[in-house]
Amino acid sequence: MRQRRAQLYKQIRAFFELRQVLEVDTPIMSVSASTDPMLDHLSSRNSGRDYYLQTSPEFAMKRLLAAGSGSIYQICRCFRAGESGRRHNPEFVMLEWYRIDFSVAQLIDEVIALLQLWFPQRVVQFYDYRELLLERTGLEYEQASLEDVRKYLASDSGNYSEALLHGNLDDLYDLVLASEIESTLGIDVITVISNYPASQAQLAQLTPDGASAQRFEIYINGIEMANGYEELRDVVEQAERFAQHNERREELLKPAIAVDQRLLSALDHGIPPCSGVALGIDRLLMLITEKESLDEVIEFSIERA
Amino acid sequence: MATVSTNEFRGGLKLMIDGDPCSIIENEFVKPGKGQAFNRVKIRNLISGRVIERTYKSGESVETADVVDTDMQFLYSDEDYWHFMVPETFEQIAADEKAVADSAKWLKGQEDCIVTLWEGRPISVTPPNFVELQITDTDPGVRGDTSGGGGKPATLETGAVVRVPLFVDLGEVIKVDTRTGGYVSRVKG
Repeated sequence: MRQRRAQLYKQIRAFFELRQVLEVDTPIMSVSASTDPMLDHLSSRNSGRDYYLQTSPEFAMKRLLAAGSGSIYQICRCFRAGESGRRHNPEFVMLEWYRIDFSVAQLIDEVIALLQLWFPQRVVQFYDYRELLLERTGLEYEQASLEDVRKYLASDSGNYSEALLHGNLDDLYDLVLASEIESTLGIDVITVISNYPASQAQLAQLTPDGASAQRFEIYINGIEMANGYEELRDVVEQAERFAQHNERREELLKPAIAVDQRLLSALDHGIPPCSGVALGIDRLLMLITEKESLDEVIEFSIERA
Repeated sequence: MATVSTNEFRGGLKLMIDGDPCSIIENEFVKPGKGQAFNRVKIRNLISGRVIERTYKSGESVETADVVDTDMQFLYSDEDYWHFMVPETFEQIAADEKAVADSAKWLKGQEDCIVTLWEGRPISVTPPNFVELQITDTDPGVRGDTSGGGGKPATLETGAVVRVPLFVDLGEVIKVDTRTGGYVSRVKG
């Protein structure tokens, strides 16, 4: 397994060297962090000051993009508090990369080219988010009400707790995807979902009509492998999404996250049009070696760390 | 009402679900890249024995069930109840047919059982893994046939029917695995 991991890193580095994407290294600790309402941070302390451990290297890498780094990639440690399970470990390895002047479609092609190093036999299956939802659940994204989605989930033999069914519409759609659909994606193929609704844009650019986000996800063997965007570059829009996230965090009784002013300055200065994607390396290794759980591919999982 | 957070979910934890005590068989934490984390658990209803799946929002609190497994000795049964005793305290408890269920067919007296109590009331009985019981009815033994092939049904002193090898005879005491209901060996008397 140790050799497989070393070999995997070597293959990734060769892949990006050939494509002239520069390997970079940014700090794991930062005074600000992702405001994603669904993520919880770990932190560390130095000289009387608290630092978040990164949940992804996204903000630091975007600052490099603004500084004129060109296309870059990084293999690094990320930390998410409380995430422990068969396919989760609070500390994990992420591959994240950004491609200048790439559209989402071009970046999807590149992710697939990378994945086909290990899964050359698999064909690619493309889904539009709304089509997938309709095909698997009969729910029409633009038509269905909160009540419709709740009813759909509740019809699954009382499986879902009241607290889960109490989420807002996008929480429930996330649940439908993660709990009802995900396990059937990427079986013998590589599944790409794109064209997410605008309300699930995260940090992605919207389509010109404003209805969808330039965002995609990739699934193999029912496991989410990668999440990518054409990156949002508008500083005002970015500041607004930070504020929305922190409002949502407050509703969820989670601490607000210090907004990354350095990222906002970088966006204000301007980053070139680009698309970026993050891919879980431990999960990839798990799939390549046909293992069932992350602790089979991690040297020491959290219980033994 | 005692509750427990999903963070503390583990196999064997007892929860109250839809008014019934249940035991967690399997707990899986799932955190979609975007979206809220949830725990998908497989649970056995301790009353009906049925296995169901439940999905909880990670971090939510769920009511725990006051369920304890107690080592007790089976004493005797009357028309309605099976009577058990805690050997150390001589405390006695009576379990009804629903609680004893299939375990009844392995019990003749003196067996060390596990009685599962929910709020002090017995809800299930687990017999010892192995019991030794006498055969009260079976076809005559075929002497010398130790091939192990074939076999025949034998009725035991408790009424249980077990498949035994052809060489085993009426009146003999045999050892049975209660988890599988399978014959293990003859017990030399």
